[in-house]
Amino acid sequence: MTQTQTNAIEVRGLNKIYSDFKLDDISFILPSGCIMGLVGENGAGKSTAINLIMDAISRDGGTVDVLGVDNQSREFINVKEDVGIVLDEAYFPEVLTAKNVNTVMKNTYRRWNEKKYAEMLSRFSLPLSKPFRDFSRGMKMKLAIAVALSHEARLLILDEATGGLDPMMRDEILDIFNDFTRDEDHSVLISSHIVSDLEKICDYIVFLHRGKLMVCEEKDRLLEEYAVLRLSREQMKDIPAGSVMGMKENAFGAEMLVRRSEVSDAFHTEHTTLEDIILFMAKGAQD
Amino acid sequence: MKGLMIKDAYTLVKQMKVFLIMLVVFACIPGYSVSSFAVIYASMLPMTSIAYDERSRWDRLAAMMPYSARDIIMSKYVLGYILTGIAALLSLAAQAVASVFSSSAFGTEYVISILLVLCCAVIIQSAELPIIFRFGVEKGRLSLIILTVVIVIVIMSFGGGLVRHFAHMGMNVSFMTAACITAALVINVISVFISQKAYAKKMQAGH
Repeated sequence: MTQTQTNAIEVRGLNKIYSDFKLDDISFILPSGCIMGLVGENGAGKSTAINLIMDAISRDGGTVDVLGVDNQSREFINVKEDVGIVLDEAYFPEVLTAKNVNTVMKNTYRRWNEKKYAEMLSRFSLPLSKPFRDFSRGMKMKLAIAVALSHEARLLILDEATGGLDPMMRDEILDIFNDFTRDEDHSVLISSHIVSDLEKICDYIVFLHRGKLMVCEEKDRLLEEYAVLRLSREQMKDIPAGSVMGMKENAFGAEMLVRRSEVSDAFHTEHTTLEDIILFMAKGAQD
Repeated sequence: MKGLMIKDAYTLVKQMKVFLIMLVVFACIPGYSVSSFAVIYASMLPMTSIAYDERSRWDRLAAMMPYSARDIIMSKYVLGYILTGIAALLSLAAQAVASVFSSSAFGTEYVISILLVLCCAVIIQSAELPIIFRFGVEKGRLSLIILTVVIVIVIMSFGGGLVRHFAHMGMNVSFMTAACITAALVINVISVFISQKAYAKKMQAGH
Protein backbone atom coordinates (compact mmCIF):
# COMPACT_ATOMS: atom_id res chain seq x y z
CA MET A 1 0.00 0.00 0.00
CA THR A 2 1.39 3.40 -0.98
CA GLN A 3 1.79 5.81 1.90
CA THR A 4 1.22 9.52 1.38
CA GLN A 5 2.82 12.08 3.62
CA THR A 6 0.21 11.75 6.36
CA ASN A 7 -2.10 8.89 7.05
CA ALA A 8 -5.65 9.43 8.20
CA ILE A 9 -5.70 6.16 10.15
CA GLU A 10 -2.89 3.82 11.15
CA VAL A 11 -3.93 0.61 12.86
CA ARG A 12 -1.19 -1.75 14.00
CA GLY A 13 -1.64 -5.13 15.66
CA LEU A 14 -5.07 -4.24 17.04
CA ASN A 15 -6.63 -6.82 19.38
CA LYS A 16 -9.89 -7.01 21.28
CA ILE A 17 -10.89 -10.11 23.18
CA TYR A 18 -14.48 -10.91 24.20
CA SER A 19 -15.64 -14.20 25.68
CA ASP A 20 -17.09 -15.28 22.32
CA PHE A 21 -15.16 -13.19 19.80
CA LYS A 22 -11.65 -11.98 19.13
CA LEU A 23 -10.50 -9.22 16.85
CA ASP A 24 -7.13 -10.65 16.02
CA ASP A 25 -4.04 -8.63 15.20
CA ILE A 26 -5.56 -6.20 12.70
CA SER A 27 -3.27 -3.79 10.85
CA PHE A 28 -4.06 -1.35 8.05
CA ILE A 29 -3.32 2.18 6.91
CA LEU A 30 -5.76 4.63 5.39
CA PRO A 31 -3.75 7.29 3.51
CA SER A 32 -5.10 10.84 3.49
CA GLY A 33 -7.33 11.73 0.58
CA CYS A 34 -8.51 8.14 0.11
CA ILE A 35 -11.65 6.12 0.73
CA MET A 36 -11.26 2.78 2.45
CA GLY A 37 -14.02 0.17 2.54
CA LEU A 38 -14.33 -2.12 5.52
CA VAL A 39 -16.14 -5.25 4.49
CA GLY A 40 -17.07 -8.50 6.19
CA GLU A 41 -20.02 -10.59 7.29
CA ASN A 42 -22.17 -9.79 10.35
CA GLY A 43 -20.02 -10.25 13.42
CA ALA A 44 -16.75 -10.05 11.44
CA GLY A 45 -15.53 -7.27 13.70
CA LYS A 46 -16.19 -4.16 11.56
CA SER A 47 -18.06 -2.20 14.25
CA THR A 48 -15.62 -3.38 16.92
CA ALA A 49 -12.75 -2.08 14.78
CA ILE A 50 -14.51 1.28 14.33
CA ASN A 51 -15.19 1.53 18.09
CA LEU A 52 -11.54 0.78 18.79
CA ILE A 53 -10.35 3.34 16.24
CA MET A 54 -12.44 6.00 18.02
CA ASP A 55 -11.35 4.67 21.44
CA ALA A 56 -15.01 4.18 22.33
CA ILE A 57 -14.11 0.79 23.79
CA SER A 58 -10.85 -0.30 25.37
CA ARG A 59 -8.43 -2.43 23.38
CA ASP A 60 -6.40 -5.44 24.49
CA GLY A 61 -3.41 -4.78 22.26
CA GLY A 62 -2.03 -2.78 19.37
CA THR A 63 -1.91 0.91 18.53
CA VAL A 64 -4.17 3.28 16.64
CA ASP A 65 -3.26 6.72 15.28
CA VAL A 66 -6.00 8.91 13.88
CA LEU A 67 -4.94 11.98 11.88
CA GLY A 68 -1.45 11.52 13.26
CA VAL A 69 -2.48 11.34 16.94
CA ASP A 70 -2.43 8.31 19.23
CA ASN A 71 -6.10 7.65 20.04
CA GLN A 72 -5.29 7.07 23.71
CA SER A 73 -3.47 10.36 24.16
CA ARG A 74 -5.04 13.42 25.78
CA GLU A 75 -4.98 15.27 22.43
CA PHE A 76 -7.34 12.73 20.88
CA ILE A 77 -10.37 14.59 22.24
CA ASN A 78 -9.41 17.47 19.90
CA VAL A 79 -8.95 15.06 16.98
CA LYS A 80 -12.58 13.96 17.45
CA GLU A 81 -13.54 17.48 16.29
CA ASP A 82 -12.07 16.50 12.91
CA VAL A 83 -13.90 13.17 12.64
CA GLY A 84 -17.44 12.96 11.30
CA ILE A 85 -19.24 9.87 12.53
CA VAL A 86 -22.23 8.00 11.12
CA LEU A 87 -23.11 4.78 12.91
CA ASP A 88 -25.47 2.01 11.84
CA GLU A 89 -28.29 3.87 13.62
CA ALA A 90 -28.48 7.60 14.22
CA TYR A 91 -28.81 7.36 18.04
CA PHE A 92 -30.17 10.85 18.64
CA PRO A 93 -32.71 11.15 21.47
CA GLU A 94 -36.09 10.48 19.91
CA VAL A 95 -37.77 13.72 21.00
CA LEU A 96 -35.14 15.95 19.42
CA THR A 97 -35.91 17.72 16.15
CA ALA A 98 -33.36 18.61 13.47
CA LYS A 99 -33.50 22.16 14.86
CA ASN A 100 -32.70 20.90 18.39
CA VAL A 101 -29.84 18.80 16.99
CA ASN A 102 -28.39 22.00 15.52
CA THR A 103 -28.36 23.66 18.97
CA VAL A 104 -26.81 20.59 20.63
CA MET A 105 -24.10 20.26 17.97
CA LYS A 106 -23.40 24.01 17.98
CA ASN A 107 -22.44 23.53 21.61
CA THR A 108 -20.49 20.33 20.92
CA TYR A 109 -18.30 21.02 17.87
CA ARG A 110 -16.12 24.13 17.85
CA ARG A 111 -16.32 24.41 14.06
CA TRP A 112 -20.04 23.65 13.70
CA ASN A 113 -21.26 25.21 10.45
CA GLU A 114 -24.95 26.08 10.81
CA LYS A 115 -25.20 27.27 7.22
CA LYS A 116 -23.83 24.01 5.88
CA TYR A 117 -26.15 22.02 8.18
CA ALA A 118 -29.15 24.00 6.89
CA GLU A 119 -28.01 23.30 3.31
CA MET A 120 -27.68 19.59 4.03
CA LEU A 121 -31.15 19.45 5.63
CA SER A 122 -32.60 21.18 2.61
CA ARG A 123 -30.69 18.90 0.20
CA PHE A 124 -32.01 15.82 2.03
CA SER A 125 -35.53 17.35 2.35
CA LEU A 126 -35.45 16.85 6.13
CA PRO A 127 -38.07 18.68 8.22
CA LEU A 128 -36.81 21.09 10.87
CA SER A 129 -39.45 20.60 13.53
CA LYS A 130 -40.46 16.95 13.27
CA PRO A 131 -39.33 14.79 16.23
CA PHE A 132 -36.61 12.31 15.38
CA ARG A 133 -38.82 9.37 16.43
CA ASP A 134 -41.16 10.14 13.53
CA PHE A 135 -38.35 9.96 10.96
CA SER A 136 -38.07 6.95 8.65
CA ARG A 137 -34.83 4.98 8.83
CA GLY A 138 -33.61 6.69 5.68
CA MET A 139 -34.36 10.13 7.15
CA LYS A 140 -32.55 9.22 10.36
CA MET A 141 -29.44 8.19 8.46
CA LYS A 142 -29.61 11.36 6.37
CA LEU A 143 -29.74 13.46 9.53
CA ALA A 144 -26.69 11.65 10.91
CA ILE A 145 -24.85 12.23 7.62
CA ALA A 146 -25.87 15.92 7.65
CA VAL A 147 -24.37 16.26 11.15
CA ALA A 148 -21.17 14.42 10.18
CA LEU A 149 -20.65 16.75 7.21
CA SER A 150 -21.38 20.00 9.06
CA HIS A 151 -18.46 20.40 11.45
CA GLU A 152 -15.58 20.72 8.98
CA ALA A 153 -14.41 17.14 9.52
CA ARG A 154 -11.26 15.89 7.80
CA LEU A 155 -12.11 12.24 8.27
CA LEU A 156 -15.48 10.53 7.92
CA ILE A 157 -16.05 7.21 9.67
CA LEU A 158 -19.21 5.51 8.47
CA ASP A 159 -20.54 2.29 9.93
CA GLU A 160 -23.22 0.86 7.62
CA ALA A 161 -24.21 4.43 6.82
CA THR A 162 -25.97 3.60 3.56
CA GLY A 163 -28.05 0.76 5.01
CA GLY A 164 -31.79 1.39 4.79
CA LEU A 165 -31.45 3.97 2.03
CA ASP A 166 -33.03 3.49 -1.37
CA PRO A 167 -30.62 3.00 -4.34
CA MET A 168 -31.06 6.57 -5.62
CA MET A 169 -30.35 8.08 -2.23
CA ARG A 170 -27.41 5.69 -1.74
CA ASP A 171 -25.97 6.87 -5.01
CA GLU A 172 -26.39 10.50 -3.99
CA ILE A 173 -24.75 9.85 -0.62
CA LEU A 174 -21.86 8.02 -2.24
CA ASP A 175 -21.34 11.01 -4.54
CA ILE A 176 -21.21 13.25 -1.46
CA PHE A 177 -18.54 11.01 0.08
CA ASN A 178 -16.63 11.06 -3.20
CA ASP A 179 -16.80 14.86 -3.35
CA PHE A 180 -15.60 15.00 0.24
CA THR A 181 -12.30 13.33 -0.70
CA ARG A 182 -11.58 15.79 -3.52
CA ASP A 183 -9.76 17.70 -0.84
CA GLU A 184 -6.47 15.80 -0.41
CA ASP A 185 -6.69 16.29 3.32
CA HIS A 186 -10.05 14.48 3.54
CA SER A 187 -10.47 10.72 3.97
CA VAL A 188 -13.28 8.24 4.48
CA LEU A 189 -13.48 4.89 6.25
CA ILE A 190 -16.74 3.21 5.36
CA SER A 191 -18.05 -0.17 6.44
CA SER A 192 -20.89 -1.68 4.48
CA HIS A 193 -22.57 -4.94 3.60
CA ILE A 194 -23.36 -3.53 0.20
CA VAL A 195 -20.12 -4.46 -1.54
CA SER A 196 -21.24 -2.89 -4.83
CA ASP A 197 -21.34 0.50 -3.04
CA LEU A 198 -17.79 -0.01 -1.83
CA GLU A 199 -16.65 -1.07 -5.28
CA LYS A 200 -18.02 2.19 -6.67
CA ILE A 201 -16.17 4.58 -4.40
CA CYS A 202 -13.32 2.91 -2.50
CA ASP A 203 -9.61 3.22 -3.17
CA TYR A 204 -8.71 0.55 -0.61
CA ILE A 205 -10.49 -2.51 0.71
CA VAL A 206 -10.07 -4.12 4.12
CA PHE A 207 -11.80 -7.47 4.40
CA LEU A 208 -12.41 -8.87 7.88
CA HIS A 209 -13.60 -12.41 8.41
CA ARG A 210 -14.35 -13.82 11.88
CA GLY A 211 -12.18 -11.16 13.50
CA LYS A 212 -9.19 -11.75 11.24
CA LEU A 213 -7.79 -9.54 8.50
CA MET A 214 -8.10 -11.39 5.20
CA VAL A 215 -7.21 -8.63 2.76
CA CYS A 216 -5.95 -5.08 2.91
CA GLU A 217 -5.29 -3.92 -0.62
CA GLU A 218 -5.92 -1.25 -3.22
CA LYS A 219 -9.24 -2.03 -4.86
CA ASP A 220 -7.96 -1.72 -8.43
CA ARG A 221 -5.06 -4.03 -7.61
CA LEU A 222 -7.43 -6.57 -6.11
CA LEU A 223 -9.55 -6.54 -9.25
CA GLU A 224 -6.42 -6.89 -11.41
CA GLU A 225 -4.78 -9.55 -9.30
CA TYR A 226 -7.70 -11.91 -8.88
CA ALA A 227 -9.76 -13.69 -11.51
CA VAL A 228 -12.39 -16.40 -11.67
CA LEU A 229 -11.74 -19.69 -13.44
CA ARG A 230 -14.36 -22.26 -14.40
CA LEU A 231 -12.71 -25.64 -14.78
CA SER A 232 -13.51 -29.29 -15.16
CA ARG A 233 -12.21 -31.76 -12.58
CA GLU A 234 -9.30 -32.77 -14.89
CA GLN A 235 -8.27 -29.16 -15.52
CA MET A 236 -8.30 -28.43 -11.78
CA LYS A 237 -5.19 -30.58 -11.31
CA ASP A 238 -3.15 -28.14 -13.44
CA ILE A 239 -3.78 -25.20 -11.13
CA PRO A 240 -1.07 -24.59 -8.50
CA ALA A 241 -2.67 -25.07 -5.07
CA GLY A 242 -1.16 -21.85 -3.67
CA SER A 243 -2.85 -19.70 -6.31
CA VAL A 244 -6.38 -20.74 -5.37
CA MET A 245 -7.96 -18.32 -2.88
CA GLY A 246 -11.39 -19.94 -2.76
CA MET A 247 -13.41 -22.52 -4.61
CA LYS A 248 -17.05 -23.51 -5.22
CA GLU A 249 -17.30 -27.09 -6.43
CA ASN A 250 -20.19 -28.41 -8.48
CA ALA A 251 -21.07 -31.66 -10.31
CA PHE A 252 -18.93 -30.81 -13.38
CA GLY A 253 -15.94 -29.17 -11.79
CA ALA A 254 -15.40 -25.96 -9.93
CA GLU A 255 -15.42 -22.20 -9.99
CA MET A 256 -12.35 -20.82 -8.31
CA LEU A 257 -10.82 -17.51 -7.41
CA VAL A 258 -7.16 -17.49 -8.43
CA ARG A 259 -4.21 -15.13 -8.52
CA ARG A 260 -4.07 -14.24 -12.19
CA SER A 261 -0.27 -14.00 -12.22
CA GLU A 262 0.18 -17.53 -10.90
CA VAL A 263 -2.02 -19.27 -13.46
CA SER A 264 -0.95 -20.23 -16.98
CA ASP A 265 -2.20 -17.99 -19.80
CA ALA A 266 -3.64 -21.13 -21.37
CA PHE A 267 -6.58 -20.87 -18.99
CA HIS A 268 -9.32 -18.40 -19.80
CA THR A 269 -9.72 -16.22 -16.71
CA GLU A 270 -12.80 -14.09 -16.23
CA HIS A 271 -12.88 -10.57 -14.82
CA THR A 272 -14.24 -10.66 -11.31
CA THR A 273 -16.08 -8.29 -9.00
CA LEU A 274 -15.24 -7.27 -5.47
CA GLU A 275 -18.28 -9.18 -4.25
CA ASP A 276 -16.98 -12.41 -5.88
CA ILE A 277 -13.54 -11.92 -4.35
CA ILE A 278 -15.05 -11.44 -0.88
CA LEU A 279 -17.40 -14.43 -1.23
CA PHE A 280 -14.68 -16.76 -2.54
CA MET A 281 -12.22 -15.71 0.13
CA ALA A 282 -14.79 -16.15 2.90
CA LYS A 283 -15.59 -19.59 1.57
CA GLY A 284 -11.88 -20.42 1.25
CA ALA A 285 -11.34 -19.42 4.88
CA GLN A 286 -14.26 -21.60 6.02
CA ASP A 287 -13.00 -24.61 4.08
CA MET B 1 -20.39 19.45 28.32
CA LYS B 2 -22.73 22.31 27.40
CA GLY B 3 -24.03 20.36 24.39
CA LEU B 4 -24.80 17.37 26.62
CA MET B 5 -26.67 19.53 29.11
CA ILE B 6 -28.72 21.17 26.35
CA LYS B 7 -29.56 17.71 24.98
CA ASP B 8 -30.68 16.60 28.47
CA ALA B 9 -32.74 19.75 28.92
CA TYR B 10 -34.56 19.19 25.61
CA THR B 11 -35.16 15.52 26.45
CA LEU B 12 -36.49 16.15 29.96
CA VAL B 13 -38.68 19.10 29.00
CA LYS B 14 -40.22 17.21 26.07
CA GLN B 15 -40.58 13.81 27.76
CA MET B 16 -41.36 14.86 31.32
CA LYS B 17 -43.43 18.02 30.84
CA VAL B 18 -46.20 16.95 33.25
CA PHE B 19 -43.73 15.74 35.90
CA LEU B 20 -41.71 18.95 35.68
CA ILE B 21 -44.88 21.03 36.13
CA MET B 22 -45.79 18.87 39.14
CA LEU B 23 -42.29 19.37 40.52
CA VAL B 24 -42.67 23.17 40.28
CA VAL B 25 -46.15 23.02 41.86
CA PHE B 26 -44.95 20.84 44.74
CA ALA B 27 -41.90 23.05 45.29
CA CYS B 28 -44.19 26.07 45.45
CA ILE B 29 -46.60 24.60 48.01
CA PRO B 30 -45.64 26.22 51.31
CA GLY B 31 -44.71 23.77 54.03
CA TYR B 32 -41.86 21.46 54.64
CA SER B 33 -43.01 18.00 53.53
CA VAL B 34 -44.28 18.58 50.01
CA SER B 35 -41.44 20.87 49.01
CA SER B 36 -38.95 18.31 50.39
CA PHE B 37 -40.50 15.77 48.07
CA ALA B 38 -39.99 18.15 45.13
CA VAL B 39 -36.30 18.61 45.93
CA ILE B 40 -35.74 14.86 46.36
CA TYR B 41 -37.67 14.11 43.16
CA ALA B 42 -35.48 16.60 41.27
CA SER B 43 -32.40 14.63 42.33
CA MET B 44 -33.78 11.58 40.50
CA LEU B 45 -34.17 13.32 37.14
CA PRO B 46 -30.54 12.71 36.07
CA MET B 47 -31.33 8.98 36.30
CA THR B 48 -34.39 9.52 34.10
CA SER B 49 -32.20 11.33 31.63
CA ILE B 50 -29.73 8.39 31.60
CA ALA B 51 -32.68 6.06 30.95
CA TYR B 52 -33.61 8.10 27.88
CA ASP B 53 -29.96 8.03 26.73
CA GLU B 54 -29.96 4.25 27.06
CA ARG B 55 -33.19 3.97 25.11
CA SER B 56 -31.82 5.95 22.17
CA ARG B 57 -28.32 4.44 22.66
CA TRP B 58 -26.99 7.98 22.69
CA ASP B 59 -23.92 6.79 24.66
CA ARG B 60 -22.61 4.94 21.60
CA LEU B 61 -22.64 8.16 19.59
CA ALA B 62 -21.43 10.35 22.46
CA ALA B 63 -18.37 8.12 22.94
CA MET B 64 -17.29 9.05 19.40
CA MET B 65 -17.92 12.78 19.74
CA PRO B 66 -15.58 15.31 21.34
CA TYR B 67 -16.85 14.60 24.86
CA SER B 68 -14.55 13.10 27.48
CA ALA B 69 -15.85 10.43 29.85
CA ARG B 70 -15.60 13.10 32.54
CA ASP B 71 -17.88 15.42 30.51
CA ILE B 72 -20.46 12.66 30.14
CA ILE B 73 -20.40 11.87 33.87
CA MET B 74 -20.27 15.43 35.14
CA SER B 75 -23.14 16.53 32.89
CA LYS B 76 -25.47 14.24 34.87
CA TYR B 77 -24.20 15.44 38.25
CA VAL B 78 -24.49 19.11 37.23
CA LEU B 79 -27.97 18.48 35.84
CA GLY B 80 -28.96 17.13 39.27
CA TYR B 81 -27.39 20.08 41.11
CA ILE B 82 -29.23 22.58 38.89
CA LEU B 83 -32.61 20.85 39.20
CA THR B 84 -32.44 20.30 42.98
CA GLY B 85 -31.15 23.86 43.38
CA ILE B 86 -34.08 25.26 41.39
CA ALA B 87 -36.57 23.17 43.41
CA ALA B 88 -35.02 24.36 46.70
CA LEU B 89 -35.02 28.02 45.60
CA LEU B 90 -38.65 27.80 44.44
CA SER B 91 -39.56 26.26 47.76
CA LEU B 92 -37.85 29.05 49.71
CA ALA B 93 -39.44 31.71 47.51
CA ALA B 94 -42.90 30.18 47.93
CA GLN B 95 -42.51 30.02 51.70
CA ALA B 96 -41.31 33.62 51.80
CA VAL B 97 -44.32 34.78 49.76
CA ALA B 98 -46.69 32.70 51.90
CA SER B 99 -45.29 34.22 55.08
CA VAL B 100 -46.18 37.71 53.79
CA PHE B 101 -49.83 36.80 53.23
CA SER B 102 -50.36 34.50 56.18
CA SER B 103 -49.05 33.80 59.59
CA SER B 104 -46.87 30.88 58.39
CA ALA B 105 -43.32 31.15 59.58
CA PHE B 106 -40.38 31.87 57.34
CA GLY B 107 -37.08 32.06 59.07
CA THR B 108 -33.74 30.47 59.59
CA GLU B 109 -35.27 27.17 60.62
CA TYR B 110 -37.08 26.76 57.30
CA VAL B 111 -34.02 27.76 55.29
CA ILE B 112 -31.87 25.28 57.21
CA SER B 113 -34.49 22.54 56.73
CA ILE B 114 -34.54 23.05 52.97
CA LEU B 115 -30.75 23.23 52.93
CA LEU B 116 -30.59 19.87 54.71
CA VAL B 117 -33.09 18.37 52.26
CA LEU B 118 -30.93 19.72 49.44
CA CYS B 119 -27.90 18.00 51.01
CA CYS B 120 -29.87 14.73 51.27
CA ALA B 121 -31.01 15.08 47.64
CA VAL B 122 -27.46 15.43 46.32
CA ILE B 123 -26.36 12.55 48.58
CA ILE B 124 -29.13 10.35 47.08
CA GLN B 125 -27.95 11.37 43.62
CA SER B 126 -24.33 10.64 44.53
CA ALA B 127 -25.32 7.17 45.81
CA GLU B 128 -27.38 6.33 42.73
CA LEU B 129 -25.29 7.63 39.83
CA PRO B 130 -22.29 5.26 40.21
CA ILE B 131 -24.71 2.28 40.28
CA ILE B 132 -26.44 3.54 37.14
CA PHE B 133 -23.18 4.29 35.35
CA ARG B 134 -21.94 0.77 36.05
CA PHE B 135 -25.07 -1.36 35.63
CA GLY B 136 -27.45 0.83 33.65
CA VAL B 137 -30.91 2.01 34.67
CA GLU B 138 -32.68 -1.32 34.15
CA LYS B 139 -30.34 -3.39 36.32
CA GLY B 140 -29.83 -0.66 38.92
CA ARG B 141 -33.55 0.11 39.28
CA LEU B 142 -34.31 -2.03 42.36
CA SER B 143 -31.40 -0.66 44.39
CA LEU B 144 -32.47 2.86 43.44
CA ILE B 145 -36.06 2.35 44.58
CA ILE B 146 -35.02 0.92 47.95
CA LEU B 147 -32.39 3.58 48.53
CA THR B 148 -34.68 6.45 47.62
CA VAL B 149 -37.64 5.21 49.68
CA VAL B 150 -35.46 4.72 52.78
CA ILE B 151 -33.87 8.16 52.53
CA VAL B 152 -37.16 9.95 51.80
CA ILE B 153 -38.91 8.25 54.75
CA VAL B 154 -36.07 9.19 57.09
CA ILE B 155 -36.09 12.80 55.95
CA MET B 156 -39.89 13.18 55.96
CA SER B 157 -40.19 11.58 59.39
CA PHE B 158 -37.28 13.00 61.25
CA GLY B 159 -35.70 15.82 59.19
CA GLY B 160 -37.54 18.91 60.48
CA GLY B 161 -38.04 17.47 63.97
CA LEU B 162 -34.38 16.65 64.26
CA VAL B 163 -33.36 20.21 63.51
CA ARG B 164 -35.85 21.54 66.11
CA HIS B 165 -34.67 18.94 68.60
CA PHE B 166 -31.03 19.92 68.18
CA ALA B 167 -32.01 23.59 68.47
CA HIS B 168 -33.91 22.91 71.75
CA MET B 169 -30.94 20.97 73.08
CA GLY B 170 -28.87 24.06 72.50
CA MET B 171 -26.67 22.39 69.91
CA ASN B 172 -25.07 24.65 67.42
CA VAL B 173 -27.36 24.42 64.37
CA SER B 174 -24.94 26.36 62.21
CA PHE B 175 -22.26 23.82 62.98
CA MET B 176 -24.66 20.93 62.19
CA THR B 177 -25.63 22.54 58.90
CA ALA B 178 -22.02 23.15 57.95
CA ALA B 179 -21.23 19.51 58.78
CA CYS B 180 -24.09 18.29 56.55
CA ILE B 181 -23.00 20.50 53.64
CA THR B 182 -19.40 19.31 54.03
CA ALA B 183 -20.56 15.68 54.14
CA ALA B 184 -22.66 16.19 50.98
CA LEU B 185 -19.69 17.77 49.19
CA VAL B 186 -17.25 15.04 50.23
CA ILE B 187 -19.69 12.25 49.31
CA ASN B 188 -20.25 13.87 45.91
CA VAL B 189 -16.53 14.14 45.18
CA ILE B 190 -16.10 10.45 46.08
CA SER B 191 -19.17 9.57 44.02
CA VAL B 192 -17.82 11.33 40.90
CA PHE B 193 -14.56 9.40 41.32
CA ILE B 194 -16.43 6.06 41.64
CA SER B 195 -18.67 6.95 38.67
CA GLN B 196 -15.58 7.53 36.54
CA LYS B 197 -14.26 4.10 37.50
CA ALA B 198 -17.69 2.51 36.91
CA TYR B 199 -18.02 4.17 33.50
CA ALA B 200 -14.50 3.05 32.53
CA LYS B 201 -15.43 -0.50 33.51
CA LYS B 202 -18.53 -0.34 31.36
CA MET B 203 -16.32 0.88 28.49
CA GLN B 204 -13.92 -2.01 29.16
CA ALA B 205 -16.83 -4.41 28.64
CA GLY B 206 -17.45 -2.71 25.29
CA HIS B 207 -21.03 -1.61 26.10
